[in-house]
Amino acid sequence: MTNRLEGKVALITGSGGALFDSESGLGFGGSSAFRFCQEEATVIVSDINDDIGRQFTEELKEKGLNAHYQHLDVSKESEWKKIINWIEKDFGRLDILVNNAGVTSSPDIFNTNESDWNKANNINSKGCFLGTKHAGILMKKNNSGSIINISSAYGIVASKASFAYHASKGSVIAMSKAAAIQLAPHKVRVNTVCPGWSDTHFTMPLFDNPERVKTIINTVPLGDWIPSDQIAWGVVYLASDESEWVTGTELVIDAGWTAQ
Amino acid sequence: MEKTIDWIEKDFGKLDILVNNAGIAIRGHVLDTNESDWDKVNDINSKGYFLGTKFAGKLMQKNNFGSIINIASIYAIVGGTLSFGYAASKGAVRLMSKAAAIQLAPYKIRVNTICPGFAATPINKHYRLTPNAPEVVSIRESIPLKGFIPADQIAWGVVYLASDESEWVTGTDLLIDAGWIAQ
Ligand SMILES: NC(=O)c1ccc[n+]([C@@H]2O[C@H](COP(=O)([O-])OP(=O)(O)OC[C@H]3O[C@@H](n4cnc5c(N)ncnc54)[C@H](O)[C@@H]3O)[C@@H](O)[C@H]2O)c1
Repeated sequence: MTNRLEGKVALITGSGGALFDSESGLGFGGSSAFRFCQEEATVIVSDINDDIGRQFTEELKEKGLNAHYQHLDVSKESEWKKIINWIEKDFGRLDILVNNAGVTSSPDIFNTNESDWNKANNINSKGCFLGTKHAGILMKKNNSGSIINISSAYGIVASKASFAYHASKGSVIAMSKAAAIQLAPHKVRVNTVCPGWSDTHFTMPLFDNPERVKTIINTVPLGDWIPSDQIAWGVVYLASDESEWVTGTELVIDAGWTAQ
Repeated sequence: MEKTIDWIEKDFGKLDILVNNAGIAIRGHVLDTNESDWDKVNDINSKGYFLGTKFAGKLMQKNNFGSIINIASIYAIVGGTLSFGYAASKGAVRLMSKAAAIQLAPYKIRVNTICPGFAATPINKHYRLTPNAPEVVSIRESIPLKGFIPADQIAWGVVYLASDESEWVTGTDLLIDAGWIAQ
């Protein structure tokens, strides 16, 4: 099957942070953009990292794929209004939104200051809200759409650190359910993907500490880092009509980590 | 079960995917559930899945590969007024799948559940036959996407969990319920 998303227009946030041959490989956004294109969607790559984002989009085009680049800082409502207007003018519709942009925040509760809190929550949580709202407004006109929010295993279970990150990712899960119920009358579906430990640019800093890497992987039932392409396939499933009756739920792609 | 798995090994040499799907629905309030109702529904829905996972697991272990998909239900997650033994059996399926996922992970055998919502399958043929019956209308109205789920949608979820696209998915539940549990 290579046409599971034929005719669909998709916007993926935070999908321009890495190139095919980057040291960390593609992130979830970039991998999803690649698989979406292969499944014949029209893909709008967006990021705040415009240089790499444009270059990555060129790499997709060189493979003969239908990709476009557009700057988008997900934490700013004015930018959401702009990009959704542009999509409506240029493509006439939006079928799929992947809210993938995210940042980490490692301090525990006592060391989390207001600016740590604001950064994690403005990008991870408010970014999802703004995207869901403005994409929802456009999707509603077509009475169809699929929104996929990237949360985390850290949105389900907690740890000794990453306080603001846990809060932001937990909010993504609950807000997706609320949006699913509120957008169901318009046949717009909203689901969450909760990835476990994956070796993308996001987790690269951990690799400076081999002991830490070993301790983490020892806790993963399937025993290794999850390739970002696995997240992409989950996103493809939720974006496609194969999941037309799936809404308000979480797809956990975590190698068994939260089942124990 | 043991016999079937032996036959599969002899005729095909391996087993990559097991879908534990057989199930019965028994209705009944906790106070009206007698021992034989309980035994019947738990033997088929819960013990049946245990045996399937065990014997398929033994064969899959030889190949260091496999995907087991257990069909549970939204009633593995929340309770309802009408069934009791059924809910118990499906709850067992959900947790036994997680335990099996952890215990079979060293052999690269994945175990997941699918929790379907109200689906228009033969077990629920009244949804199709009497769409205007008050009970059917009230169920439909309680579903955010306002309809019964086509069996084909469950099939696509099973395909996803069976395929290598989900090679790193184990110990989890895929809900295909049109938003019912989210509210
Ligand atoms: N890698 C993991 O182990 C892991 C696990 C669970 C969840 N996640 C989540 O997955 C998502 C993607 O992460 P990834 O692993 O691909 O890492 P990544 O760092 O490659 O991707 C994050 C992207 O978001 C972009 N970004 C940051 N701030 C932004 C903003 N304000 N507006 C728009 N874009 C912005 C970055 O430029 C980057 O391209 C994140 O939401 C992350 O929280 C990652």
